[in-house]
Amino acid sequence: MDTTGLIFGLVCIGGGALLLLILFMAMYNSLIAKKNQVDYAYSGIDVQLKKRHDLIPNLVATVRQYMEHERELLERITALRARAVSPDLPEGERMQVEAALSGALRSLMVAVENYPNLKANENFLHLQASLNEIEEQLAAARRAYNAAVTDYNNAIEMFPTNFVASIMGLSRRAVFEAEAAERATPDVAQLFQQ
Amino acid sequence: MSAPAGDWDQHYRELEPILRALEEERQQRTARFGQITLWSVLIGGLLSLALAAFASPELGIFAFAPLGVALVVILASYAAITSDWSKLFKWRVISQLVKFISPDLEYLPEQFISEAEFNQSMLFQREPDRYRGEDLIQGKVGQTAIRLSEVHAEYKVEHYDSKGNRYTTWHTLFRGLFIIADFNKHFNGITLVLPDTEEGLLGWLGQTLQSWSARLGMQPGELVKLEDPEFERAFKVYSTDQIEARYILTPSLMARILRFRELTRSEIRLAFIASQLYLAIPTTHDYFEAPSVFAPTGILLKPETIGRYLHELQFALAVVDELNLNTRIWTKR
Repeated sequence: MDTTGLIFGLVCIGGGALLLLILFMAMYNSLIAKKNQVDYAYSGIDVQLKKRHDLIPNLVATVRQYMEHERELLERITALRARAVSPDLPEGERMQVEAALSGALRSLMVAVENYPNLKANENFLHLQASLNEIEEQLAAARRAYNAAVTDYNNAIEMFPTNFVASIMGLSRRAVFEAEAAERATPDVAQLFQQ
Repeated sequence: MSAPAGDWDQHYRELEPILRALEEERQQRTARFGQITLWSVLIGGLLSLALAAFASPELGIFAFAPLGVALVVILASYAAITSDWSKLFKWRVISQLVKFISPDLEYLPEQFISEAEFNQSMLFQREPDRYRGEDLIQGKVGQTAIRLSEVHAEYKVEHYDSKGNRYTTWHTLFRGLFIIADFNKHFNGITLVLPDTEEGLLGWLGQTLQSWSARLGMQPGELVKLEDPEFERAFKVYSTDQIEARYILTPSLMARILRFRELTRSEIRLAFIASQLYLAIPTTHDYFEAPSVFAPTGILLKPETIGRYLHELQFALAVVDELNLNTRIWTKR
């Protein structure tokens, strides 16, 4: 083989390797960006949960004077909130506690219908609007998180990024499922008994 | 749609004398025009005949000058009779109908949404070179502040022919109803909902292209992928904030936007900027235009004529109910 052929071969191999390296870098970076997007979206949920924690004491204090028959429910909400903000709560349990809190707050807002005086209270109306706002933001944050996770999971499983992802040791993340209570058709008879 | 139709009968009784007077005025105008035409042709024709028959032959073609003058008179009187007819109709009838829909609304037939506001919406990729409009309606429907008008925005393209001569062609950027309404939630970023042309054709690849068009700065923010597959097929969404976009575009609002798109049967565009909703509904229909001065007798007194205008108004204001803008259960009042 003459030298020109050798140089040509080397250039080809070198060029190919460089191209592969660039492709690898691009895929690596896009995977990291997607992973960070998931974490960022998760922190979006956190912000709203924190806002909800801050709102609850105020809300409970306002409605307590009016709702004599809901003492038990209010105590449950206070206890759940205390549990949600306690620093030694394990990560796995955290979302369960928050889900229970969501359910309890929904029951509270249904129970409010029985107290016309409360519904005329300006302070309560303001708190109720704030809670609606937070719940709406929370739903949006969850959906943003799910979209980020779907994007990330797609990248991990689709060709050709799946090779790079397996080298990086990235694994699938789970999306938020609608809570069982939210998905079930509401039992109207039960609502009336409350 | 936003129809407080309960007292329509009573309202129509109030409107009827106005319509009757206007119909009379219209018939007077047609009659006057008929007379002017008749006399112009008669006098012009006779004078021309007389000139042709008795004047010296070198007058030639100028013998027909009186007929020409008659034609000018007819055209001028046509312009005079029709020009302010539309204005008269709008001031008297449309403004009454607007008041019927909501007393908090006002109608300004010669004003329109400004070009600056049109550009603020970021709904179109370029700014227009020629901008016109009419029929501004503004005020409140329920708790929602709203402004809307007809808008015609055009851009020009300059060409050179083979000899190097420059010539300009005008293309429509947008023609239709342009609506600015107060949205029922607070937000700070920019979220655009645009018709999806690429994804339907190219699928996954189309979405990648859309995502790149945001990254290259052709659209603000980044592509937002939403869960509703039907919505994703119809629209592409760009936003400066992924969470805020979903805060605005809840599953229920997405379903409502899809339904509104079906109702309008057109490629609507929506922008959510600084707690305002900008909505562009393209249409070639000219809204709130008076029936012709020369339309058949009694057209204004037919209930279906007025019904049609009422329907047009309700359609233009339907966005408030269709997108549920009067629901104020969040912190924004």
